[in-house]
Amino acid sequence: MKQENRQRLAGAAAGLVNGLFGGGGGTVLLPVLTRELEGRHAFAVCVAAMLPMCAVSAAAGMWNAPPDLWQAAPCLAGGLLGGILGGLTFGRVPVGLLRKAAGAFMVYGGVRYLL
Amino acid sequence: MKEAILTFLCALVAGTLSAWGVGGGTLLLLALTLLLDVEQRQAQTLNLLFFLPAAGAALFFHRRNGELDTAAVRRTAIPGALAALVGAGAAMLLDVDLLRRPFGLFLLYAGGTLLFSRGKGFSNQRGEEAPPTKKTQ
Repeated sequence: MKQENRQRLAGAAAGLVNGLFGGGGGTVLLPVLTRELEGRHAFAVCVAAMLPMCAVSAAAGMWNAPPDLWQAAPCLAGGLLGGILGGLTFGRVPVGLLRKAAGAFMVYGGVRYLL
Repeated sequence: MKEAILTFLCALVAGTLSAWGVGGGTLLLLALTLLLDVEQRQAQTLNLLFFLPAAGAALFFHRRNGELDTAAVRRTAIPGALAALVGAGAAMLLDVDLLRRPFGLFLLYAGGTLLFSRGKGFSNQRGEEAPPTKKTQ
């Protein structure tokens, strides 16, 4: 398959997962992008591509299950500050161990959801 | 108030990890449902909303550093947004409990991907780029 089509397919798969589960699209898209783009570009493209996917899914979610303001406000504020902090320090922090810890937490979550 | 502070801290950590490409969105969803006992659908919407400012802020820096390949963004974002519409529509029609097991399986896959990913080609460190074999424009 051509590289461009592979990226389109990965984008579609990420969008489907993100819409269906309310998250997780980035974990589908990033492994494909890291194989085809330079490391730092892959992360940037992944974040940029996930933005419209999350906007579409969030609009549907707001219509279907509007969240409580007291829950939404800290999520939005924490997300904004975290995004700034992460953007400022991107590439300066070794993330190898963090990635393993995140993976372990996801496996734990997967087991909890399956049981 | 305590819950709001805990939610803010979880979102702060997840936002930072999202910008670093460490699956922050998935982690916040798990933190909301498993640690803070937020109902699944509410947690999904909160997680999606959280990502908008987090990604917007991170993108500002990525763009400033010249790391955005706009052609690749268009290639992935357009089919992604259309598929997200389909996925979100399906999620609204399906019973939330029906999606628990598929989501659990997805988490096992995503977690495994992160646990067993090799450092090379999966790093955001300067000087540890993926081999520039097939870079697109």
